[in-house]
Amino acid sequence: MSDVDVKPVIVVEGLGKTIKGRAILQDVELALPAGQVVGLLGKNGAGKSTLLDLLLGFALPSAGRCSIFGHDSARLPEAAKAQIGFVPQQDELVGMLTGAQQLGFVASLHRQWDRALVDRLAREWELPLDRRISTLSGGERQKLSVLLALGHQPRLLVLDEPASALDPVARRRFMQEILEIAGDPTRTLVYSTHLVGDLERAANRLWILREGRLAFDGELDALKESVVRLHLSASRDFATLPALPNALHASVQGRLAQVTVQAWEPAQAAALAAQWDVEIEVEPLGLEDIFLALHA
Amino acid sequence: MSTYLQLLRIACWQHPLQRVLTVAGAALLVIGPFLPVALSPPGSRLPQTFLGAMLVLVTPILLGGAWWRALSAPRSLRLAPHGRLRLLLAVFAVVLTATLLWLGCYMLAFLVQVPPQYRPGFGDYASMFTLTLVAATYLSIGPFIAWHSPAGLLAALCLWLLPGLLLRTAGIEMPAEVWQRPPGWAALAAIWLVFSAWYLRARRIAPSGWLKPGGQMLFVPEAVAAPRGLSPRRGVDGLLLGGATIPRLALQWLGVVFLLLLVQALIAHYADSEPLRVVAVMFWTLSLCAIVSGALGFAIAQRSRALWLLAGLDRAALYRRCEGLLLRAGLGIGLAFGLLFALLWSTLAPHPPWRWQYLLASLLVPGLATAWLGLSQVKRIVWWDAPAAVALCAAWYVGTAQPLFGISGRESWGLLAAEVLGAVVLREVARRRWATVDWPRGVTPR
Repeated sequence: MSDVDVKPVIVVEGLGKTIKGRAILQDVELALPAGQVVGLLGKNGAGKSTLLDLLLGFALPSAGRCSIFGHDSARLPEAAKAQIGFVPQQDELVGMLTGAQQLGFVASLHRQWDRALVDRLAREWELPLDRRISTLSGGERQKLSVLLALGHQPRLLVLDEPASALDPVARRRFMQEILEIAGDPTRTLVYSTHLVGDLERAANRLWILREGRLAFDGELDALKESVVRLHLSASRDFATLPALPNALHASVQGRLAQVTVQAWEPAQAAALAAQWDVEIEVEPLGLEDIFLALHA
Repeated sequence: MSTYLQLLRIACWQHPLQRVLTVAGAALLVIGPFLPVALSPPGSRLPQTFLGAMLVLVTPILLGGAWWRALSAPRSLRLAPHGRLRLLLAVFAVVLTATLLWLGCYMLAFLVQVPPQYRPGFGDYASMFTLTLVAATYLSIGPFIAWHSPAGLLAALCLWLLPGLLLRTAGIEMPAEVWQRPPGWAALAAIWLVFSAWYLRARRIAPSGWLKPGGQMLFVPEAVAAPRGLSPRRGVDGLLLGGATIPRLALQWLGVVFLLLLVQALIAHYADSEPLRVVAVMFWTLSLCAIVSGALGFAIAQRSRALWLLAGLDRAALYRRCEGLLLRAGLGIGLAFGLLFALLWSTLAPHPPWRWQYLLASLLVPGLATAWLGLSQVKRIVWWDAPAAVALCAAWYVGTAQPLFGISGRESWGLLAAEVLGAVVLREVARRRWATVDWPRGVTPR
């Protein structure tokens, strides 16, 4: 394994961004090793796109620093940039070119270009490369943006809402490509999306942003194990809600109660059952439910 | 807010630059006639007043057609009860407002400067109102057609020429007099009726083919050479210029402006216009160079975000690359305009009362400043950009337009030097902005 592979691909230290007096990001600390597929989640306005802009050097931080492949994001050298692929939320295609022309121009800027991959994907995704980009639909433009980001086989692929305009068939094919990339231990993927189902399939790590701060950074499986919903069943009606540590959300209906908790340890179940004289059933949650609970 | 007020807001108050122009224009309009010193001989303060009115009206005149199209195009407008009718009535109300503003300028100027016995009467004002309404009608419906597409522009130009040609064919030497009589009023009403009938019944009104994100831009190269085997440098240049090359850009502008000049020559020929005025208008057309170079700088700035990763350059190097390309492209376009200038200078007579060196410099130098103003738009700072744009417009008006149209015949090399100095300042502003830019998201390059 080379020296580069051992170091984290992304390091973020005390990162903050303030725009016109409003703090968009505050005190974000991250380290992402190579080979990970990280999902970036957050509500609208949580700071996801700003974080990606700062990571890639499009914007300059107001506080702290971030680096990619060991280089300051604000001053990425050519060699580092050549290893990055980026699909922006709103495409940056030149409307007056045809898809083939835009691909040609971008290909000319890279030392290596996997023409076979691009041609195959363009064919599979039924992308009309001979048409002017300005006449393409939103989904077709998005497919082209993805092709442009994949063509040079980047070691770090950053995707900002890449599949929001794709139809289900195209999204399935796109996810297949993403899963293929995810299987390559030398390649790292940062994937921001609201389609949590896609993330569950591809990501092994998660960053959750909440009001500009990092609310969670860890393994997806660990999050799913630690946030669960407890179904409590008592012999008589609950007078008050059981006060559970780390409870995110609770509701009571007669002698039944539901409590969503984080930092859950399976060993807690027996102790709590004995303490409240209830039966406890632990329900694992999907990522969407976890996200909703964390933002409740 | 009523549709009329909404339209007025879009026309004069939407963008910070519009607000600056509107406030500056309104202020000049009000205080212009009372200024102790006339800006131009022979002591008349009318130019100040009309400069004020023009500052207010310039944006709606230039972009009104595009906005009207954009507002008419959504299918949802057809779902709104009488949506198109309300929009049409609001547009007509805005046209009337502009007409009355223009007429008000005359009234104010006459009120302040002319003794009561020489002031125009009601009949004179009625004639002026009709003529102004004819012009305003053309400046609203004409651009609406012209903003459709290049073919629309051609159609609008033809419609502009047609009435004059028809009247001349009918043996009427002074078309303006016809507009002031009942047949002229009927013709004006007929124009609005015919247009309204089409506008209200049209199944679909297309958005502007010049501006819409999904539409074609004018003068787009139709076929770019197959991009296989491009060098990285040419790849970057190609992306920044939207697939065009510098020679192609220069040739396109050479062709387009030559066509414009040809149309002007035809109009002048048929309208039997005053020769010196024709010469002034044709030379003045060459000041388009400043707008072209500003737009080019702006387009390059808009496309630069994608190149931050692709080109592998840091901010300073990327700026230098973009600036170098802009200067080379500007030189190419400048050469095209220079060629046209040489053509005009050698064929037109009489010449404006200047040396050719000054005239050429006064037409091309503003382009330097606008190019860097455009390039600095990678990041917008309204409190700086708006006054800078207004200052450039003012310098261009005083240094180029005023002398050309005979308001003042002086060569003003000092002003040109100031414009060059302004360009140097704007270059420094652009360089500093690029050094610390946070590229905005959501800007779709064309």
